[in-house]
Amino acid sequence: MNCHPIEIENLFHSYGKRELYHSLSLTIPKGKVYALLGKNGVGKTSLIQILMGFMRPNGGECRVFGDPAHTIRPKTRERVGLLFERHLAYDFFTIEQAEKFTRSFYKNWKSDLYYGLVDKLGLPYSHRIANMSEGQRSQIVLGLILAQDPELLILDDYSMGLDAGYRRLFIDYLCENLKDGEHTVVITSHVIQDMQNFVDELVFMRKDKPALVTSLDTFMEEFTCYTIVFKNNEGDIRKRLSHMNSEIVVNTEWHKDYVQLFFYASSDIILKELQKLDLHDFSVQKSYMDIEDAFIGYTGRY
Amino acid sequence: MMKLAVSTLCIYILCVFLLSWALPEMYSIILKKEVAKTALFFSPLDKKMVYTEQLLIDDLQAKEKSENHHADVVYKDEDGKYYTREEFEAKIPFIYFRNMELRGLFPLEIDGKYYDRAIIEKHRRVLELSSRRLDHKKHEEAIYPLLESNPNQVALVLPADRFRMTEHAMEFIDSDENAPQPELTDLFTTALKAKGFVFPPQKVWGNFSVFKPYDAGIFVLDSKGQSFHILRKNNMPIINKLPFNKESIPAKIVISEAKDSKVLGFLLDTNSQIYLFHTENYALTHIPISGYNPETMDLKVLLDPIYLTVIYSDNQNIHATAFYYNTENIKDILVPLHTYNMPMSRAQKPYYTKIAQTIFPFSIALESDHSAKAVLNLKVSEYFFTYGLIFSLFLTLLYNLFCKVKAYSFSYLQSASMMCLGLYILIPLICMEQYRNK
Amino acid sequence: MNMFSLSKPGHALRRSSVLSSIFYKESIKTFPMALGLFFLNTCFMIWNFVVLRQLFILDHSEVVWYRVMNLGQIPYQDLMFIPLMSAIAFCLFQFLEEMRDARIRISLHLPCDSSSIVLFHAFFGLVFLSLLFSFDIIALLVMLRYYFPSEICFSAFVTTLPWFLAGLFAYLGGTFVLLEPQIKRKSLGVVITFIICLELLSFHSTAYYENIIYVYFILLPCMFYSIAVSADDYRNRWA
Repeated sequence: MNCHPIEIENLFHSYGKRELYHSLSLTIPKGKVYALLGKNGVGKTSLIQILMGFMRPNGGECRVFGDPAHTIRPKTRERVGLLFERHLAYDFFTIEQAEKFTRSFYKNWKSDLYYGLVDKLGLPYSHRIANMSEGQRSQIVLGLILAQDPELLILDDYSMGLDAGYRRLFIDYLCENLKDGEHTVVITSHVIQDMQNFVDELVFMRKDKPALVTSLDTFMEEFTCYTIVFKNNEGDIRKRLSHMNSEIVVNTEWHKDYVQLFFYASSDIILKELQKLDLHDFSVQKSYMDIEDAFIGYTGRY
Repeated sequence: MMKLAVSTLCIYILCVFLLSWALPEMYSIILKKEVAKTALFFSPLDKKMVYTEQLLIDDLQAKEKSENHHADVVYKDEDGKYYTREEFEAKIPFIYFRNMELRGLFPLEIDGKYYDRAIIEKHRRVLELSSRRLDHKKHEEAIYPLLESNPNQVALVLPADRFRMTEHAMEFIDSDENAPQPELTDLFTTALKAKGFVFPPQKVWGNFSVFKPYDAGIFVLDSKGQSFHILRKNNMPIINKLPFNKESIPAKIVISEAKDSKVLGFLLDTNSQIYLFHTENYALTHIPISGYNPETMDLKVLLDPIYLTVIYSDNQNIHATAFYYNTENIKDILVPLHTYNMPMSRAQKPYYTKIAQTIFPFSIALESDHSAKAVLNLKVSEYFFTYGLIFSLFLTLLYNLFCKVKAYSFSYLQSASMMCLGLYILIPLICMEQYRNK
Repeated sequence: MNMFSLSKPGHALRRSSVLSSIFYKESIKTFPMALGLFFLNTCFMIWNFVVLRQLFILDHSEVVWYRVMNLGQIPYQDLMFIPLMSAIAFCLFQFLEEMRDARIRISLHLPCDSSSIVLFHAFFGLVFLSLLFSFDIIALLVMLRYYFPSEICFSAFVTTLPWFLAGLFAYLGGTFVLLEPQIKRKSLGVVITFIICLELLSFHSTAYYENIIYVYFILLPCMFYSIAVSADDYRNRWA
């Protein structure tokens, strides 16, 4: 039976009274690169923990290649490469020992992929992982995952602690090896701009709001920002904005002299809405956003 | 899932085993009052048994006769008459002869005869064998000292060697060198063989101490069931074969070395019969008592200038028989004079014992009154099928309610195990159960 | 250090190859601690030998023998808590490292049965501690045999066996407690371990446990296997 790499159905989970997921459903098909995006604490890592069976949700079902997440068979685990937050590794190993240990568990082990990446570091194989920088360690961990030749890669916050160079190296290596339609990747990160050329689909996770699943192109097309300069007239603008259709406004960011309105809708609908507000005595401009602006605009600054 | 079920079962097994030891033990430490066995004696004055014991349940009359904080100790006779401590001591003057002397009561007049300290000390002996001191119930290093019985000085000294009985020899080991001594080994082995000793020996008995007035040597049972006496005199062996008849194969010989005593100790044979063991010619005198089981009973033989009293007790009851014996010809047949049995105070069941019997369906004890080594002693509660079951049922219902409130799962198997194992399974069940997946 | 041969990629993953891989990893991880414990235990044994020698300097040999053989003096009593302390130290070193940032998830994600992986970790600890304790026992017996007849060696073996078993139980109990995420089960693990160590370390007399020591050898696999529960709980934690 051909099952999707990941299927999430009506997932419920909460930490005490704080609800993390409310009926979250998501299917990640084969060959796609999905980015789980969201601010700290929205449940990106928790979702990965649940998917890999390290945490049991309060309700709903998660399946990985058809296996229930909390009873994933070893055979299925062999198909999943998992990068833990902060590039978790057994740091008592040397470069060589780490490879020697991990390869004994995988049938399709590809040493050349591991050493190909490791060689870029220019370190002797007897170098202990504990003595490496965060960036160097990330390459070791990535190498170990790639050498497993997994069908599904789950990369939890790969960018944490990495400088721009290592982030680029990491993503480039992923692009070179995984963008072949055969590999499925789920990636979480705070640094969205690195992913521009890598991800196919975005999953925006927000506190107390349903997750948004969209492609990067659609998102950049439909997510719009308008800036309204109000100078000393804040009271008036607040009053007017309170009549706005909240369904199409994703976020409102107030600044000293202006307010930014973030819409997730087609431009026709947005313009109609702005006209209704009768803002002719204010300066209203559509603002340009790069991917990071859009990410922050969508998820909020705080 | 199977693996998890087996693993969980392992936890339950561990818990039940360990809690059935620890909980009753803890309960005992906190609440239980441990009392010694009743001390029972034959009074040469009243010709009846008198006894003293610590009480578990209050006794008003005992309190009236008591001294200050010793209200839980009672002094009584077999007719139920209470005494003060001093009155009690006066009933058994051969036991408390030093106090009698201190109180100026010597010489004592009993049945027209007079007894002073010298006479009492000459005849008085106390020989004991507790069930936990039987050979198979205690650990003993099977390498013994053979003392020089003619040390040429008042005090006995430890020899610089010890012996062990091997398959073929009585092997001596020098303690300075920690090496065998072939000469001494040959000397004693040859002497033993010459007397008909057949190796390997079965048992070795003796009083391996220097804190005694003289050394009476050791006694050895050979492979054919023959008994031998081995003495070391001027570093030379003196071996005597004991003239026991074939029916009295010794299971244990208890020796008490007292100067000028006609009695060397007593012998317990393989048929649980006991005999007085005389110094002269190794003669044996049968002590006719019934119901003595050396495996579960402690035995005491008291000799005084008129009577021989044998007292033996298990955990609940104590028995005593007094015999009149001829001090001049101690080998005479012993005639029972008076026998008495009674339950001891430690058999009483105060409230905390009843509670323990109710809340603990059974218990595992590692210590035993009948063994100097740890044993696995499973005791099922006397109330197991009565109050114990009611308590278990109560626990089961309570737990069922708790499970419903907490949304835990609860099965018939758990109910059944709780009815049988009570608290011991309740604790792990509470800890191991988890929520149903909502 | 690399005493465990590992299977090559392409091999079907068998239980024995998983075991040797875990042993390979654990031997590298615990090497400094293992070395430290061997060193400390050796130091202790040397000190014990000095104390024993001192007994024979201060008294005649027959008096020392008498005290040991007839009065129940135990010239190696200081050894009592050494296995327990060694086991706890080793357990903490081995599993706190895994608990740091929940590194054990790396092993639990390996394509093998999670319980087996954790049990193999514990098995490694048991093997190491058994080696360490065997070293202690052999050292003790050799030094005792130097001063005493063989009978004392036998009784010393029987007397100290519960102490070493207490060490093994403490190690397994410690593993259970460290891995177990649920506070109720963790507490149960602490209680079980405490009771069993209390039993085994409550000293009564020489060779006291001679007749029932087999019971603890039966309970040891139970304690070992119970770790599968904490491994499963760790894997499927309730948040």
